[in-house]
Amino acid sequence: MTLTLISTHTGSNSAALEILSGIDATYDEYQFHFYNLCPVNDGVDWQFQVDTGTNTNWNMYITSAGYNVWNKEGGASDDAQVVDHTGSTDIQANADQVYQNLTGTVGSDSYEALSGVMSLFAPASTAFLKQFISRCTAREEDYARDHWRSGMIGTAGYTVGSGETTAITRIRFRFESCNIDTGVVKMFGVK
Amino acid sequence: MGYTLISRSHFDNVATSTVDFTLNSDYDEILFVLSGFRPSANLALGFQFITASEAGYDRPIQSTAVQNHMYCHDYSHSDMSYTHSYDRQHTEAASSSTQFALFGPSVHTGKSHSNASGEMTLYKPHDTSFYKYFLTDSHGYQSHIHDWQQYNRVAHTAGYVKDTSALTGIRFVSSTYLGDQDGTINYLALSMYGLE
Repeated sequence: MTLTLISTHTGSNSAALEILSGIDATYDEYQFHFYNLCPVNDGVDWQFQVDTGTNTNWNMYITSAGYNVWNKEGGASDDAQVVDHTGSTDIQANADQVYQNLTGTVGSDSYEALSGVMSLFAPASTAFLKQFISRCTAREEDYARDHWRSGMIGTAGYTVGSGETTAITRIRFRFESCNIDTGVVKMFGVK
Repeated sequence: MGYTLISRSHFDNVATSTVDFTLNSDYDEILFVLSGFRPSANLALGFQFITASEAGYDRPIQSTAVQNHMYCHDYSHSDMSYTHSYDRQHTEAASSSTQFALFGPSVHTGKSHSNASGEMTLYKPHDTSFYKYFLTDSHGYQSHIHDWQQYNRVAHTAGYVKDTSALTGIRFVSSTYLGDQDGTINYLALSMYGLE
């Protein structure tokens, strides 16, 4: 497996990091590596959305699932929890057009951040839905966290939004409700 | 620029207590690829870090741990769950008592062909503002001496080194699942790659 660095995107009190070029048929897989991304405000989720270039509203239908794992300093709490559409505020509603959470809450203290990776498979395909997998680790309020999410872009089930197979050409990362204080996203192509 | 092989440790049938790699600021991301680990007894591969200002490998590590397992002798049981005994509390690695975090599940040596493999990613080890974040994915074969107790085990750990100083080195040892160095590494194939 060979990774080729395509572009680097640095957050500095930024509303979002948008990658508007470089996602095409050159590679079968694109990896987005996250390095010490820290929000301006405490306790917010790291998210993404995509678009096709013709729909520039960042509102593709995405169905996803995930689970979170945590261990609090001091041993007060540790567990793993499946993340679906029925749970707590950390839980991402699936099968909708909103931004998808790649993490639960991330802290904003000077030493707190998230790091991890997201893979997007065959974004240039016009035959299939686009699939992604992600895993990130983060700290917030004394919790070590491990976040997993995977899903498919272009469907909300059997009816609404089903079967959108237009090539994806853009991706946008952000924190849910505040700017990105610091951090870097690198996009690699995989062959 | 893709992954660059920085260093590799490979030995077979050589009882080895510690395996050290030097970390520097050349790469934003370090990937360790473990393609074989076998200890002297029923033990796991543990890791710890050192900084320039510390004398030992004893940095505070806070980590999570989940596992999947299946009885591979009869496929009768399987499960996925949080594994408290495999996670780490940062207080366990006080300077006086080194506690190793786990790269993966313990390998039981009841069968000669049992071993563990996996990957660990360490992000920006040279950073001096943030804690150092890491992820592991690994698989181990826990082969008890009895054929009726064979485990196929997968472990995922994640967390951070609770230290804003740059990490200058990482040590791998044979460890109990509780993080105490024990026994020796008798087989190891471990490569360290850098990603710019």
